[in-house]
Amino acid sequence: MKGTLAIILAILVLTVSFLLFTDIGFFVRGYVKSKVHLADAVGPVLKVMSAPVHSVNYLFESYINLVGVKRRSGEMKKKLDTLLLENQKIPELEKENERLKGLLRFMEQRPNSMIAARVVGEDVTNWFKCIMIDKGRSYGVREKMPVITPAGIVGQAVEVNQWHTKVMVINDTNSAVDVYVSGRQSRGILEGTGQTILKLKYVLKNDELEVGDTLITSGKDSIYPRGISAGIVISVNKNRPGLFADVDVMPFNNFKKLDEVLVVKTW
Amino acid sequence: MVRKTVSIALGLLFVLFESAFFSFFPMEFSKPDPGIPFVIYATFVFGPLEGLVTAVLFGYVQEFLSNGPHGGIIFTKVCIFLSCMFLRSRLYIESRHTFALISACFVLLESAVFLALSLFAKGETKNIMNIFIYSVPNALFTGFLALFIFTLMQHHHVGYVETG
Repeated sequence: MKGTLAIILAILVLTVSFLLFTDIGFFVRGYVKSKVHLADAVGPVLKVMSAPVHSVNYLFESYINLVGVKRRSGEMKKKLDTLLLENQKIPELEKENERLKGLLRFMEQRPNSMIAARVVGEDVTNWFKCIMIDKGRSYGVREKMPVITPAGIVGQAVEVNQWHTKVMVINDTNSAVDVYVSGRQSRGILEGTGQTILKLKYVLKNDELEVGDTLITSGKDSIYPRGISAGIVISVNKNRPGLFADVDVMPFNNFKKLDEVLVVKTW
Repeated sequence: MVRKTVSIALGLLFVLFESAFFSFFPMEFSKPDPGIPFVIYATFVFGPLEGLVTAVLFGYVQEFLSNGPHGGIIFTKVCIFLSCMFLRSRLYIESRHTFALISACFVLLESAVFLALSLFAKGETKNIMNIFIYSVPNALFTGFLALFIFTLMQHHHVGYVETG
């Protein structure tokens, strides 16, 4: 009897979850509300859970730092040589410098336009890519707000509750960012693949694009502000059928090792 | 009843801990799913209704901590529950190794169900085949995790032999 009842209830739940999956407005609205209430309730638990993990992380990294001081000294010497070589590339970097200055001005002009947040959690499945940050509605975070780091874009806020915000990272399969190639006329859509590497779509084969080109947000998707670094082109394949080139992009941020991020409130 | 509730609550806390842990220790290639062993254990040992509640709760919490589409993870977890119900009288879990093997198999089943759901319901899906890339390592890691979960649950005096 109990078994039959459980099966009937399970079929009901299956039907409802299927309707949710197919994005039927009435069901989705109710479900999202319930999720927000749950998040408000369990939010502090996630913060508490992340505290010891962060402490262990801090201790672990401090220990590694101590052990690796000698090795790092040697590495620093090597790095110095590399930097001396890189000094010769200054003219090439001037352009980038201009862009970064722009970004800095952008941040200085709007001192209250960004919210610093700490990463407290990550997607529990590896089918999708998201991070949880410790700032929510109470700090003024809203859905679709872009999330960045000084290195480049991270993603956008997709679910916001009192305590936390779920950020869809740009390598999620559902993510798309309108970008252009720095110093060139080419534009495209940077799509997540669910893996570390991103794909730049809709770039014509005769568009100017080379390995090593930097991709910058265009601001035309109305989500990400213009001029934020998105990634670097690592491979361009024009030897394939069709109109468009196959372009692989490496994001500037290592999404697996994000500690702090900035949520852009207004831009 | 209290023991069952505590066991499921601990499992849910473990999922929250897992999310915090992954942000510190990145395991992109293989993320074990503690929900599956808990759903199997609850259905086989606690009973059908408890199994269903566990499936819905784990699906709901995992969806809260994931960027997956609404309802997707709950759907797969309830499918796992229904499969467990079907196998309940046909399968006997005689040791933690069998439990681990079943858990690993159910992770593969979960991936297949989610893939089928995505292809059937959405029509057009991007890079959905990623699920297959991750399914085998996920199954292996979940299998290992299931060994500990089974031992822990047995230790918590909610044994399969006692009540099953």
